Amino acid sequence: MFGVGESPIGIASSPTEEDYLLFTVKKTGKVTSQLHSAKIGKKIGIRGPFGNGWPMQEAEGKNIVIIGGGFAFTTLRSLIVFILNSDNRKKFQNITIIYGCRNPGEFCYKSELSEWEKMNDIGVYLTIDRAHPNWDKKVGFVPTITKEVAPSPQNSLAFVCGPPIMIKYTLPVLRELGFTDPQIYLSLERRMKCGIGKCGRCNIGNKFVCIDGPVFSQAELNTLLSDE
Amino acid sequence: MEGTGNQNQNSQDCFKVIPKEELKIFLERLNKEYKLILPTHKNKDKSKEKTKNNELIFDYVDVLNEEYEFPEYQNIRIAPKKFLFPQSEVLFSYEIEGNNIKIAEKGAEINNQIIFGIRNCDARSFKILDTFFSSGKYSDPYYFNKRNHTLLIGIACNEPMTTCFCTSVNGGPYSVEGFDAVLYELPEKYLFQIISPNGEKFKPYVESYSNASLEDLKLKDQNASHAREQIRVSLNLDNIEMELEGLYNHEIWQKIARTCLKCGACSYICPTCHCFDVQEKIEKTDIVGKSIGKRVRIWDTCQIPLFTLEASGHNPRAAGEKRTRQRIYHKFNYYLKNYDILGCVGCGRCIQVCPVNQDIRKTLVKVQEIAKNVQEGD
Repeated sequence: MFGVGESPIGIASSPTEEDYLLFTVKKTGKVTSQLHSAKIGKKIGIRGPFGNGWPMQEAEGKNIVIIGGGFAFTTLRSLIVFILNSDNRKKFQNITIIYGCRNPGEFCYKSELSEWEKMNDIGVYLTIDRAHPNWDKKVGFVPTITKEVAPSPQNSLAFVCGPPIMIKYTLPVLRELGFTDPQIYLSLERRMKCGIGKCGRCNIGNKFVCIDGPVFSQAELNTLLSDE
Repeated sequence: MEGTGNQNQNSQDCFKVIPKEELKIFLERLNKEYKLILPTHKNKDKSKEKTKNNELIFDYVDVLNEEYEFPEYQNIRIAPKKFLFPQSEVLFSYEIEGNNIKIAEKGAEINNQIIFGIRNCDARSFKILDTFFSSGKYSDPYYFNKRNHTLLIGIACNEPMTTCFCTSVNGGPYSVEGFDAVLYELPEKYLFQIISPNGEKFKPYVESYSNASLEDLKLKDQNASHAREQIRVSLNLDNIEMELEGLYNHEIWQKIARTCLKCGACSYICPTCHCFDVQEKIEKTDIVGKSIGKRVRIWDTCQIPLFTLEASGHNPRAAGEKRTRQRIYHKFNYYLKNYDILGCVGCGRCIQVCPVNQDIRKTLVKVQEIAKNVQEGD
C-alpha cells in the first residue's frame, strides 16, 4: 500500500486459478487495515512471489493430510484447490483435511468448505475449540481431533499450517500416529520486511523463512538451531 | 593476501615514499578525480576544535577548497559503513494522485569515491558486506551502486586499542586484506603500497615518488610487530561454529542477557551489522490530493523485541536471551554456515560502546570454556 507500507501475505489462490490472485487478509495492523478499508479499484503494489511452496512433486502418488488452524488456512486453500483440480486430483491418493478455529464464525472459505465436505473422495473434519449452539461438527483442539481422525502415515505426507501453539501440540500427535519427521511439512510465519533474505529478522538458525521457507520439513527444522 | 601484480610484494619498488608534508598534495591530486571520504573533525570551526562534540568522523572533505590536515587517531568511533549502507536510505519515491501512482527509482548519480585512512578491520567489514549483499538470488543494487564506485585506501594500524581483537578473527593491524591500497606510517613519511587490481588506478598518482629504502621497510616491519604485540587478547576461533552448535539452549545466554540492556548500541556501532527495517514516508500531501512519498530503509537491530514481533502478537525472540544469542550466533555460527566467513572484524567498537561493559571477547572465551567442558563431560 503506497503511503502505508508492506505486509508479507501468502497466496490463497491456486496456480490453477489463472485469472486472479486471491489474498485472504486479516485486519491487524496499519497495512491490513488500509487494505480492508480500500474501495474496489484501488491500486496496490505486489512484490514477489518469494520463497518456496508446498512440495507438490514429492506429494504425487501419496495420501495428503492437511492440518490447519485459524487464519493460517489461506495457503492451505491454495493447496487444496490445486489438488482437487480435475487435472491434478488423480496424481494424489486420499486427502484428509483437518481445520480448526476458535468459533464457527472464524472459518475462511465457508462455501468451499461445505462443497469439499460433500465430496466422497476426501475427508473433511472441521472443529471448533469449544461447543457452540450453531455447531454440529467436531469440538476440540486440532491436535485432539487429529488424534481422533488418526490419518494413516502409510505413504502419506502431512502439511501443517497454523499458530505456533497448534503446531507445537500437533507434532507429537503426528509422530505418535507414525509420521516420521521427513513426512511432516510446516509452513512457518516470521516477521519480514524484504522477502529476499537481506533484512535479517525472519531467520530460523542460519536459514531465512522468506527465501528458504516458509515451508520446511520437520526433518530439516531438526537440523537448524531453533526453538521450534 | 591479494596480488599486486608484482612478482615480489616486498621489493622496494612496491613501496613509494610520500613525505608527510606532501600528503595534502597527494590528496588534492586524488580529489580531482575522486570524491574523498576522510577522517576529519565533526566541527570544522577551528575555534571549537577542542570541544567535546568535535570528535573525529569520516566525512566528505573537499581538500581542493578546504583546509585539511590528516589527523592522528587509533580508529574512528563510527565506522565508514554508512557511506555504502546509510543509516537511512531512500529505495524509491512515488507520487500518488487519486489512483495514479508514479514510481521514480532513485537515480544512480554515484561519483567515484575513495574512503581514505580506514583501518584493516573496516576494510574487512566491507568484504563481509560485499559477501552478504551479493549472496543468494538477489544482489543488493543500493549497496553495490555505491560499492562499485568506491576504492579503499587504508592506513596500517600502528597503535591498536585495548579493545581491539582483529587478530582473533583472521585480521591484523598490518593485514592488507580488503584494501585497494595502503599507507604505512613512519616518522616523517608514509609508504604507499598498491594492494588490489583496482588499486592499480593509483599508480599514476604515486609514480613520481621515490622507492622506499631498505631502512624504511625494516622500520615498517618493526612497527608491524610492535602493533601486533599491542593486541593483548588472542582467541583461537577456528572451531567457534561447532563450539556454539552445542550451546544453543545453554544457560549462558540467560546469564549474559541478564545484564544486557537490549539498547542495541552494539549493533548500531558494528561495521558488519546490516539488518534493516523498511518504512514508508509520506513527505507532502497538498490540497489537490497529490501526495509524495518515499520507501526508506533504515538500520535496525536484532536486540530489540519489535524486530521480530509478528502481527499476531507471536514473537519468536521475545525473551532477551534469545536476542543476545542471535547476535553471537549470527556472527559466529550462521555466517560460517552460510558464507564460510566470520561476521566479526574484531574492531572492538561494541566493547567500547556498551553501557554495561559487556565484552564480546569474554562471551567468546566463556563459550569456548563451556564447550570444552561439555565435550569433556561426554
